[in-house]
Amino acid sequence: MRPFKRARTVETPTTAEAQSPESGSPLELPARILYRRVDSLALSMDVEFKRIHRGAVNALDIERSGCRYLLSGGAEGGVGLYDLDWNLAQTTRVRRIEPLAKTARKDAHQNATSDICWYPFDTGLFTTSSYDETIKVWDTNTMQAATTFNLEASVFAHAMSPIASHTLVAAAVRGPQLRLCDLKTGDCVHSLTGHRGSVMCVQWSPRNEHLLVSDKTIRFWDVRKARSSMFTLDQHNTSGKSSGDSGKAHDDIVNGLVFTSDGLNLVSTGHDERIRLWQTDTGRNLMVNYGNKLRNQRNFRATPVLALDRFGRWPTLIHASDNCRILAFDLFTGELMNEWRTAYGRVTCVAWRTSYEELYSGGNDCEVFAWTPTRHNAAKRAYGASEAQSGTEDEMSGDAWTESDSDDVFF
Amino acid sequence: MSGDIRDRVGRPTECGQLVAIDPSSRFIASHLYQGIINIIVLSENSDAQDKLLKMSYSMRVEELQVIDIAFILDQEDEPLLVILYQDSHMKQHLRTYHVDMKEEELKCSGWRCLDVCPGASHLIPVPAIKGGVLITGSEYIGFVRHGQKNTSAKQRRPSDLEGEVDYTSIAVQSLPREPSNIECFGVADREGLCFLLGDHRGDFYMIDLTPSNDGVSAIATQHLGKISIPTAIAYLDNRYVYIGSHLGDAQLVRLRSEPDENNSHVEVTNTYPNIAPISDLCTIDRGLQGQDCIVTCSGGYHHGSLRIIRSGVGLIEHAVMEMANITGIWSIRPSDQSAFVDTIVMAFIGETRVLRLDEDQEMAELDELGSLCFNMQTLYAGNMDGDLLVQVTPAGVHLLDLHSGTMVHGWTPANGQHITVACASQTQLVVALPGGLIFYLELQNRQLVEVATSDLKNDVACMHMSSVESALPHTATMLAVGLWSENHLLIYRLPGLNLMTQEKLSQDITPRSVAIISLDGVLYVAAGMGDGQLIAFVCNAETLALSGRTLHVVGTQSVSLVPFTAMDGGQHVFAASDRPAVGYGELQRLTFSGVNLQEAKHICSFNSAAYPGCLAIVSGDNIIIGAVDEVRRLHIRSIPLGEMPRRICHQPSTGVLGVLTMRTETLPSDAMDLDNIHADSVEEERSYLRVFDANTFDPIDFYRMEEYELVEHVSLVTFKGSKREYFVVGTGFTYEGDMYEERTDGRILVFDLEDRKRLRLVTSRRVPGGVFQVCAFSERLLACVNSRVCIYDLEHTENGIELVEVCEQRLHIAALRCAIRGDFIAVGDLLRSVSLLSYLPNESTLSVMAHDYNRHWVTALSMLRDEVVLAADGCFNLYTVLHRSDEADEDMRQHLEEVGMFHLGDQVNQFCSGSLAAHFPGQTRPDAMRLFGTTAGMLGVAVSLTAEQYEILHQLSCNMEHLLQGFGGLDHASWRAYQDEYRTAGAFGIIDGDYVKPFLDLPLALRQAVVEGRPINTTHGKRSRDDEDIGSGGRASQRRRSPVSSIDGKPLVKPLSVTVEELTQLLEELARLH
Repeated sequence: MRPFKRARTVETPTTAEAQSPESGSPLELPARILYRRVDSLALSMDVEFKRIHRGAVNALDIERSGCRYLLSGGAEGGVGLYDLDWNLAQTTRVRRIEPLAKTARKDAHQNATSDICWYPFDTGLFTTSSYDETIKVWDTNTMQAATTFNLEASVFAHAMSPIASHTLVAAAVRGPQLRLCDLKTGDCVHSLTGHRGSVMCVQWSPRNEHLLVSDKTIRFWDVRKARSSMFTLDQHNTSGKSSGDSGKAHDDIVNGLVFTSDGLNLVSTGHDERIRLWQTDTGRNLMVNYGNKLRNQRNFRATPVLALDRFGRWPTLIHASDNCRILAFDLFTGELMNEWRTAYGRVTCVAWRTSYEELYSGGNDCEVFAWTPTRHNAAKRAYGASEAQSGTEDEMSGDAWTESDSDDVFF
Repeated sequence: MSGDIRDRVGRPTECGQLVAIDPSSRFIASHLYQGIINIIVLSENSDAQDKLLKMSYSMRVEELQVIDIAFILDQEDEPLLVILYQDSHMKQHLRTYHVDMKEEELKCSGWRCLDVCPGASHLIPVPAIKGGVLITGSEYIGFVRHGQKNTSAKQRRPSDLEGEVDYTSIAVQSLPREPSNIECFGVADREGLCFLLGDHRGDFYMIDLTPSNDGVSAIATQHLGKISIPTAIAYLDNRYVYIGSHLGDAQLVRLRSEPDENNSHVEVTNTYPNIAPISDLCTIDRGLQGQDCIVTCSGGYHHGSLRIIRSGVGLIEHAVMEMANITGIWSIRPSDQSAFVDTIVMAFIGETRVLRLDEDQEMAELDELGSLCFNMQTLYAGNMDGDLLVQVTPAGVHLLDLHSGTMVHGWTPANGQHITVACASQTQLVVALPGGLIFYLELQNRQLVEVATSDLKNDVACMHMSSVESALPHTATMLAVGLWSENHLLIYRLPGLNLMTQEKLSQDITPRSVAIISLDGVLYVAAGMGDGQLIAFVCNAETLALSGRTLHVVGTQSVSLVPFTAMDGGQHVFAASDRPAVGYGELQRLTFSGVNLQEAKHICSFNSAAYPGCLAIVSGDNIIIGAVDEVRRLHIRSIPLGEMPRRICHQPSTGVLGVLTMRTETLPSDAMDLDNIHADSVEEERSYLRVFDANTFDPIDFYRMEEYELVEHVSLVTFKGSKREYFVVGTGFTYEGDMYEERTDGRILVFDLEDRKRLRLVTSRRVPGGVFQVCAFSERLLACVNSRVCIYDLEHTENGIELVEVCEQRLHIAALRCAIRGDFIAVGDLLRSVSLLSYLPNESTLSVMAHDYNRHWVTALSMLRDEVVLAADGCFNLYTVLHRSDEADEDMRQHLEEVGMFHLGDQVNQFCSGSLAAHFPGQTRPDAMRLFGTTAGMLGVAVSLTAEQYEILHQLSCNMEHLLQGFGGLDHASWRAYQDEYRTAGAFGIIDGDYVKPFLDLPLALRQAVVEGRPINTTHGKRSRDDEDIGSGGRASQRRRSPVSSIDGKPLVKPLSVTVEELTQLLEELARLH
């Protein structure tokens, strides 16, 4: 067995073909190729989204099953639906993605959309939450709201469980209660009490039917039980799992949570501008240092995304920072892998397209951007002279958007 | 008892799946997903036979990169789980856990060992020493024992885990050896202090532990010798060790106590061929009606070889005797009544020898046998009626009495001429003299009487008389004669010696043997020619007219034909040549099936008491007594290369094979090489293009690639304006080591094989990416260069001959595979599955016609028809996609629809067209049939079915699943269900042939029941009760309980619309295709 190397080396299928399935992971070849792709992400020159929002893009979500459809929720309350493989076969240089559908003004929310979620099992349904104190459940085909939950408090975030047999939507609202709504009955069925301040974000575990919410504390709940939270996370690991209110996960409000795909780890980010990695079964802080380049002060949900999570080798955490940057960290060591800068507005939300390894970001410039790997562009630069015949070569190199220390370049 | 511990959300580990069993048989620990160890608890109550596996629990461990796990018993006889893991600084450490059943978690036991042997790869528990475990590292082996404390406490780490107080370092270590990676180990003796290790180079070591009070006082390592690169080592007994290998042949070796002349203690007694991993395969069509054979690139590293696989009849060898230079062989029965033979008469140039089988079943040579002539070559020897033995020598014919050995009668040709050819039956004899004179003699009253004679004007080359169509079993009615010069075949009616038919066989090739045989009810006359061909005619029994002339290519040297009776009583004819074959009648046709024998010169039937139904075959310098197997099997011949073959292609026009290989060469290390400054020599991988002759597999020429250049694919391409076929090779450059200098380019090289002797590089072109595949596309070259698909032309420019790019297509993430059919190109991608492209010559562009929007890593693909693509993906599935080109809706037209999904269980590396089955002159082979080879050495056939055939077989498969209980209670449908990381779907559109074919072996009653969809009383009803699911508690069980109706209530078991006979016929027809 070869020693583990973080090498960007052999890409040929030799090892994949000769290796017996027992001796090594057969997914080594795609893992290496995809790692290189993620490493070379840059603002895409080839893909452009047509602008549909009149306000900042507050939320993005890509559906799980085929990773093909993107939903965007805007600060004006409207929702847009895009097909990411739109017009894939066309031959012009820049592929312009038109929205498949968008909500009519009368159907949209009255206030800004705060969060948007695909129904985890099919693309027929999605939900949006908004500052107008409602959660709307939409039918994708007609782009009309089938149900509206009235929660009487601004909703900051909501989530649906990707594995559960129940159809509960958990909503994080302004107020110390965590609200649970049932899609089947159309009512708000439950409230979980335990937090002191407003709850800014909520996530379901992909492994079992638990739930987490946060304010300064991150609490684990079991929705089957009516009692108070199971345990909270303590950043200093004072006494393991604490069921009381002693520990604090962050020194300030926690506004972003994401689970790893196997549900064994949890990433949290807060206004104290720290990212913490936790073990979900023991509640232990793994003490990974992510540096201090992150800027996170906005009173809004800031959920990071995880890339390369399924292959397990070098999962990357991608986090939007308030200073017009997107940061990528190695999840388990905390090392800063990449720092991308945008020239437009602040990036408010990011979405990851798994297995295609593409990043989509929405900002307060009302636009959605795609970030795609640029390796073939880089390779083409070196051989530009020998390929004078190829008419589709880009004049502009992809460099301007990748390095953090380059100056702003304006279109 | 069975269960499922699969975890839908877990991340698969990198080191493969690890399992450890507790020595006190209480737990089974398995590490399948990162961060989780699954413990299965075994029942302590040994009386409860049916409840062996109680429950399984998923328990968390912190270590992410676990290398190995093992169970040992600690000082208190509690099972201790030892985990060898690697941290982010590439250092290996050991940590131990106790299984806490009350809390259902793994509790850190506090004993750990930091920084164990560098390159540690395996944990070997040493049960003989309590709490001891060996760690194999790349340079030395270390031994640690639970409970040992290290007195110097200098490396105390801040305890991030509570309870971790003790730690220790390596207690004892062995002497360092050449750095290498240990692949596997085996226990060598009963005390458990002696271990066998094999490493990645095939070196075999023995480890001896010397026990002491504290554990172990010394570890002795001894290098034993070289074996195949092992994946499993099992010590059998009496110094015999079985070496199982994935990359080479498995071996049974014997350990010698004294080293031999190569200083090796290893003696290989048996080798078991292994064709895994199959990197590539191609079919060679041998001649007009010869059998195809498959050549695979098998083996890894220095075990690489080409394997020639053909389907044929086997020869079960019973005995082999050395005897060289035999020119003829006949078997004699001791008397008329005895059915078995016991004597062999062998003819040599100038002498005759006799072997007899005595009571001890030993063949002994007789010095004399009555008045048998020993000092002349025998032309024919055989039994005749009346307990007589006839021997024909060039001097004359002798008739001997079998019991007394005395000569009863003799016949000599007049005028002192000598006999050239003879043939006989029980009562008749025909001899031929030079000049074409033949005499027909009959046995009357124990005397040979001349009955008829004829002058044929030309020398006789061969004769055969046959009693096939005669009323009397021992009297022949037909005689076939083959002549020199004019190359005629004459058929005579006996006893009158009337010439009935004359046929000219060939212009310049002489028939060397002729046979009249009745196969499958049809009377054939076959003539084996001197160039290895066989001409067969259908003969009319009354008129003896010949019709239906067919030509079969059997070998390359002269063929001799001998009819024989097989063990099952069927009549066959053995065609002996340098490629021996057995001819038999099938479906009113004469077909030949190769025999697994190097060559055969002469044969005779040898139906003896000790060896019933056998043949005596003269092959090389031996006589082989053996029986022809009834079943057709795959026969594998190995051509070892010493390096790893990666790709192969066959050029039918010149009969040449082009093979891409990779070789590890050891070069003296460069002083400037900073990475390897301590090594004496550096190992480097170099790639070659090697050209072999497709018949003899002799190497013709080779070409060595540049440093760090890895070959990817080779193909034969004909370019516009020229008829020459070029070998085109695609390569990619790699550079391991320095992370800052990675190369992302490759080359396309065009070679010409001049005069079938020399490889000449015509041109080469650098391309900006590794070339994953090259293929010929309508007189151009299509190459998959990293993420682009490009088309090149070969043109003459001012710089010479150059490859010029015509167009490219940049849709993919990494275009790994492509397949061409007519004008369509199917491209398989790393993530984006299959897409169909077409080339528009007017605009010189490649346009995408349709796309499969699902996510697949395509490892092999092939176009079955213009609109159907068969592909295999990286999660070991097979799937087919359909292009609906006539749909009105453009969106549907651009969408490749998945019409078949199936879990194969192995990674397919290549599809190729061709077949191993013999095919007939008039039969059209189905076009949509593909052979495939996989990493684990599986060779399979995928055949396209019609819609009604599919319906029938699908229903049959459903019926069989629900009415017949599978082995171990395992469910066939859930095994074959398509599964990848994102979804699971039931198999559809593809039938598992291995599953429905055993229907033919079922007893008739069961077959009736399955066809009618009737439940079978004996086995039904046992299924649902015993299937206790031992999956982790809390998760909803997903196993189907009621077998008879599906979810929506419709019955799954339905009667078939065909009868048992029709179904049998359909299955047999499909079985014949492979």
